[in-house]
Amino acid sequence: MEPNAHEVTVLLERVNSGDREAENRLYEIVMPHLRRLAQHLLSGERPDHTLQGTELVNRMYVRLAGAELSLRDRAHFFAIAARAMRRELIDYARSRPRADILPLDGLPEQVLETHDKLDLALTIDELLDRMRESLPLECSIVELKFFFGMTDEETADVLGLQLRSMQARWQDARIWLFERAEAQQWMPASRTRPNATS
Amino acid sequence: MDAGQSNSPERDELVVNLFLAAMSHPEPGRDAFMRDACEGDEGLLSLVRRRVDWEGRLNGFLLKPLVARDRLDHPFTPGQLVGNRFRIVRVAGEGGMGVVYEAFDEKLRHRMALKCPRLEFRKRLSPEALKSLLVTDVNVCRVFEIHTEMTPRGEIDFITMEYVEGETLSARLPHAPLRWLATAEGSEIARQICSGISAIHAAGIIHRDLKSGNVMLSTSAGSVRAVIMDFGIAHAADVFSSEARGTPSYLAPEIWKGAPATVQSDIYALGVLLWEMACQRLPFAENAEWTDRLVAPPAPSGIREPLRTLLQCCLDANPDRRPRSVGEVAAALETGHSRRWFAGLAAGAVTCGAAGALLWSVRGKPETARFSTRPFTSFPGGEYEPAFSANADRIAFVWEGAREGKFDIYVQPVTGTGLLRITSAQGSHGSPAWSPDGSEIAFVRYAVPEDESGVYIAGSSGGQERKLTGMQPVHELYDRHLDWSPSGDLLALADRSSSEEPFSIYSVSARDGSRVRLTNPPANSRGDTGPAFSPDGRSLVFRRTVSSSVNDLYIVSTAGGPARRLTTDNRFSSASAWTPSGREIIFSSNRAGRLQLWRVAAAGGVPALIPNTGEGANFLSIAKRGSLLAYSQWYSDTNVWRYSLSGSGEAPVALISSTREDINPHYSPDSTRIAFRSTRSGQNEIWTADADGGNPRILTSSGGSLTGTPRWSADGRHIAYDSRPSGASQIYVIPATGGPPVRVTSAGDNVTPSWSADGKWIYLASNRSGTWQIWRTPADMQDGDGKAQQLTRNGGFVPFESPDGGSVYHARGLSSAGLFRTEIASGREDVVVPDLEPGFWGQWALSRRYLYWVRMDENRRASLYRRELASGETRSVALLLKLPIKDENGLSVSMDDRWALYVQGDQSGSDIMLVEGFR
Repeated sequence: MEPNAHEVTVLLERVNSGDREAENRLYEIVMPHLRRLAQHLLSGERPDHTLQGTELVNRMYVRLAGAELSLRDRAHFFAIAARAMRRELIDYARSRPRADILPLDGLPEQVLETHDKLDLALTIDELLDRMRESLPLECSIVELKFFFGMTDEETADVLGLQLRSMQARWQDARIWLFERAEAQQWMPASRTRPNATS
Repeated sequence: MDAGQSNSPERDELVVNLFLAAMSHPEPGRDAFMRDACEGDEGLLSLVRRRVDWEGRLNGFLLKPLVARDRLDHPFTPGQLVGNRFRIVRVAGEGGMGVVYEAFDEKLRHRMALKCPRLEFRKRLSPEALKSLLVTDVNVCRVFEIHTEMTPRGEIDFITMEYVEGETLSARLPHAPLRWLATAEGSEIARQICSGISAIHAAGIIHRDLKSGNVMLSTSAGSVRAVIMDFGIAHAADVFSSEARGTPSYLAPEIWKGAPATVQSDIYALGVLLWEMACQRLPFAENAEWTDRLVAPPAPSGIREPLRTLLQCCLDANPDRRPRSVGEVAAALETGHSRRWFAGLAAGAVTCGAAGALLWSVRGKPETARFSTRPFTSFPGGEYEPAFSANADRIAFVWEGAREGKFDIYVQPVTGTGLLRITSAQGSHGSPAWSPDGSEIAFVRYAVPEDESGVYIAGSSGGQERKLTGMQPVHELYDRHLDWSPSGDLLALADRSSSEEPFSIYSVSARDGSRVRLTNPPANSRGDTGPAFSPDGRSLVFRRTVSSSVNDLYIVSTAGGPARRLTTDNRFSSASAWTPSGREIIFSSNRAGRLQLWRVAAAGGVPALIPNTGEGANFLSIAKRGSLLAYSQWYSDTNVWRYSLSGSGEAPVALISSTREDINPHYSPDSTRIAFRSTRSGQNEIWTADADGGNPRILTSSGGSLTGTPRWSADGRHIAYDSRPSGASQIYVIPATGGPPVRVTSAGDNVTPSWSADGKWIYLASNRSGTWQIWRTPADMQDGDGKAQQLTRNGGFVPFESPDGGSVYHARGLSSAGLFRTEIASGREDVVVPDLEPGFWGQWALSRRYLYWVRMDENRRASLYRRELASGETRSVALLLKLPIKDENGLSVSMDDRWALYVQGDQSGSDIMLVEGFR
């Protein structure tokens, strides 16, 4: 069922004032829409004749929030959408562990050779949950860039950042994740044994 | 997350821009690039370096999105009708930014080009792309319209453009005439390119990616049309992706540093493009370091003034010194071809400043000189080492004066009258340094027995002198060795612990002469000289000489600690001084050809030329007040003279002469050609000329480093020479008719090459073992050090193979006497001429029959002697008009023993110049 625009607007305002509860509520509202979108993306269907995730979220945003809102609202909305997209992609990967949907090309080769791709995705997913606690902005950037495939400019744009600042935080985030992923040998923390060798 | 500490957008902008520039810089010189670009800001450097290091380690981590982003690779297919109007014919081109189709406009019934950006276009259309619709110049590809097309993959925007048939300039270049720009067609194309860029600039657009591959040449009815493509639609690429930000060979140095594109950076690219048209190659090697691009290389031979200078101006590292508009470039090109402006200018003697004058004359706004420079002394003999007193009322300096060949300290008021001699003892004196209160002058006494050698202090109005500390004896002072701190309690001294060691900078107590060593130069270097205290007394700038004629400026704290390298381009500088504010160092360097004054921030950065003053400066001093600068200006006009050896009585003639240095002559084996080194182009380069001195042609384009000692191979087809483009001196081999040089050495410093008769070996002097020895290395092997053989053990310099090929004749070293012959097989060494004077290592020559050398008689007159190798019979064959130039290769004899080429200084000396209004 479609939430009404007013509700979304009110929730966004509450998110802006730091209301985590509102953020979760908004997430729940957005999630089903994002799920549909993500499934389309992953199944190779072509919703709305386009693959442009950004454009889709924009449309969804207009549909849900009903009007042009402030830049800040938009940033929150996108951050939430990207988070939803991450959730959906991870769930999708979990449910189809054999599907080769996770091009983790950027990972060190020896890691890719010795690790299950799902494990790697779960590792990053888990770490992002940790990152959100201390570095919410960086976490959103990773979600928008890595899970959403946005360009640097788009990401800077929707988050209301200067391009160079976004790029700096993006690298910071990658470093943060890389260091921790290495520390736990690229395995989800839940499965990392203290004496594990790779 | 330590980078999170300084997250202001401004800081991010700076750090990420530098990071991006560093990442797009080739790896080998990346660190040096970063250091340069950060201009001494260590905090900034560490932030940038950390990001660069991390990016290497991250190795693309997370850069590829989990869900592959859809890029509009080939949105259309041939045969497809787009927009109900454009029939796609074929993919005409692809680049990082988009796909170009050839299409047929069914409505207007003509061919056009259709371009789709790879990234979604509609929201990303840059203001410049919109502006591109406004440009309607005949030399710019016409952009017609922006369309939107629905495709199964979504809406796609594309632009329709004029379809230009023809080939790109870069495709055409290999088939064009060698000196294309000098031809009517080439100059017409250049004019059209300028016209096109002018139109783009007039619309407020920076092209950003001007290059020969972006200029189309279309020919119809016999006339050529140049069309500028691909402008104004460049997107900023994703930051961590490898997409280029332009084409490196055409990127102005400031763009490498992360500065935004400007009209001036387009003009730089235009300069590169014109350079290509002028000589079929790029001005810098494609993999050249960013720092190597700071000094424009001299235009290759065959490019005449004023074009030569124009090109160099366009490539000036300082955007402010480039032509201000493309219109000016066009105007200079036009005048060049009409030859009106430059009728009276001697070829080769024009510098960028002169081209500036040309440009200003085109503008009608001649620049006025910023400084007034006048002679302070112009006594007979040489005056050197000016030093201002603390209140700037007097200048102490060194003068040969009354005692030829010996130097004394003199003081003269800045007003110019009242010369006072301070020293009169035996030996020579140098490096005068004032006490802060102006009452005393410290100086170095040298060329005396060891126990007298040292630092002395005398009253500045005359009076008793006292010795402060002894120092290692030296025979000549090539640099300032002494300075006195502003607080008066310390002196800085360049001294060494033994004659084998390099010089180090010592802090010496003015009270008791006790000393602390401040610097640790590398062994085998000449070491650290030229210390100068900063105005606050906390730092010293000095020069570290790593190899002959190669040094860099360093700064060290007077409290000790590591020295910080201030200049990094391995050029030569001869003097340095702080500005009164302490923020800048003024120094004299030949990095752009001749010695000129440069300024560099004490915090670090890129040196900038100070135009209009200080040419030939070899020592300088800056007054602490009154905006005064004094420098000593060495001038030298050395020429190659030809002496007849046949007893015909023919008078010597100046065979190769210019107003600059012409030196290091060498006859080709058949004696029909002469190779020599000359600064006539503004830089040290190898030239060749006919045997009568006519038809001089520049052979090398070494870009300002000392390049000399050309030596023909026995078959006359190649020339070996030494050059120092990146610090150490190396041997290069170049075809005698021109072409790319091949470097045959890479270990240590290698100088004074010569060939074996069979052409297989190049003999050379190398310090790769720690001392100067004669080696030979394969003549045809790049960096063939692994196959090189050491021939001497006791020291060797300037080798020539004996006529029988079994031995090598050689001098001993830079400041050793004697000529020797070492048998190659056994290593056995014989003394041949025991009394060849120290410093005369380049004053001898070998033909098939004779050994020649320059010898001084009791009255210090120079004669040319020769010894028949077979009989040992020795006699004088020519009285030389002037003394030889010490420490230079100055003699060559034709193989038929009829002629000798001898280099003589027809005018040389040194005066002290005073600059007023210096800031």
